[in-house]
Amino acid sequence: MTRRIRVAILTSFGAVAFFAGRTGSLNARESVFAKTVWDSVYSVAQAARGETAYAKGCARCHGAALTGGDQSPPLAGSAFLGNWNGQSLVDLQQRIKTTMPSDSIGIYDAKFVTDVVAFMLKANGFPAGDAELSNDDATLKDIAIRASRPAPPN
Amino acid sequence: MQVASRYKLGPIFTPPVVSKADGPLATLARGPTNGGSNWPGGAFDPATHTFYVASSNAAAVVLGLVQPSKDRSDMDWVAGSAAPAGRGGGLGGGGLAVQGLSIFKPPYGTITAINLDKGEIAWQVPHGETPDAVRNNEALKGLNIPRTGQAGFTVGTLVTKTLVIAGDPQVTTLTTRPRGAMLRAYDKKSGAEVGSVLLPAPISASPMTYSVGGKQYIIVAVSGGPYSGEFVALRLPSGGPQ
Repeated sequence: MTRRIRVAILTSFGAVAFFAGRTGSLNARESVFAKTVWDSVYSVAQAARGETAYAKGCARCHGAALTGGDQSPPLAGSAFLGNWNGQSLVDLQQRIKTTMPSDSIGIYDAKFVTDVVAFMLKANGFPAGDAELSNDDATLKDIAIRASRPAPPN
Repeated sequence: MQVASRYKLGPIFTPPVVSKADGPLATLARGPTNGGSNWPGGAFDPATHTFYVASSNAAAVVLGLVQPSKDRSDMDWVAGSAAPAGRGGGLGGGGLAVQGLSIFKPPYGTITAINLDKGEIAWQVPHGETPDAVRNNEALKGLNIPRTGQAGFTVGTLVTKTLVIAGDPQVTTLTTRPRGAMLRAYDKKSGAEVGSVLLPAPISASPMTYSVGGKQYIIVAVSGGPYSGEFVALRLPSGGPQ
């Protein structure tokens, strides 16, 4: 894990625009995504495979109901959705592939991880569709995680 | 209620149950390992004999037992579920949420000031911005939801002469500021929020303060979601809040 140290100068304790240049706004980045997780981006069969994969590879720390536990964060619900809101599925896929499982990082291939992602989408209440979620990075990069359903276009 | 009915409920120390697909799936425990007040602890103020501590109210863990396949474990029983919550019947029941909302009532997280001389709660406030999934939830559209606080076990407190300082354990996205998590300062007498600073990721431990060359700093560790661990040190202006 990379550790960086940043020192910043506070002019007052109300300086909320502090990291504005660095973090960017959700709305500005949102426009670069072709789809969101509300666009039925995985299939029911894939989520079922992912459920089996999750039980095998993830549930021992993150819990059978994705609640998290001890040092493992929840993978469903508002805490998960808040931390990932506005990020892309490739971010989530890469986070899992490069840091999980934490005692044997990288033992699961891209298909396994993508199936788990599909299961996580289902568990968070996002709709399933006909097509499976591809494990191709370029495809995943175009799909935004959104905590709530985007308003329909006018 | 529908989600909770699939689990065994009981008083404290209710043991795990054998998981059955048609119920009970598991014992539902409210925050045994990731809720309540956790390892960051609280902050004690020797001047006022008050203890300031964050707690998470909406954390849930399910404790179910299943017989593992022999290639997985030689134990008779291991933790697991006969039917993971992903089969939520369209409820999106993962994480014990319904439509993205916790089955627990807000506030999801609080900071409490406890007067240790009297053993009484001096004040208690919700801590943490209302999560995106709650604030923008379709089911709550049109309702004015007061700040709910956030669930999270990484919140520690720092007490100074006048303030209690603690960070949000979750990232939020508001139209009024960039995506991030707030480091908040409360008036330690009343619990009223008096200021906040945006951090790029959720706080992952207690803040601490130190002084170098006549300048005072507050340093916090942040990480979460896709954001790798990072220390952020904030330098107070000379003559700033104490």
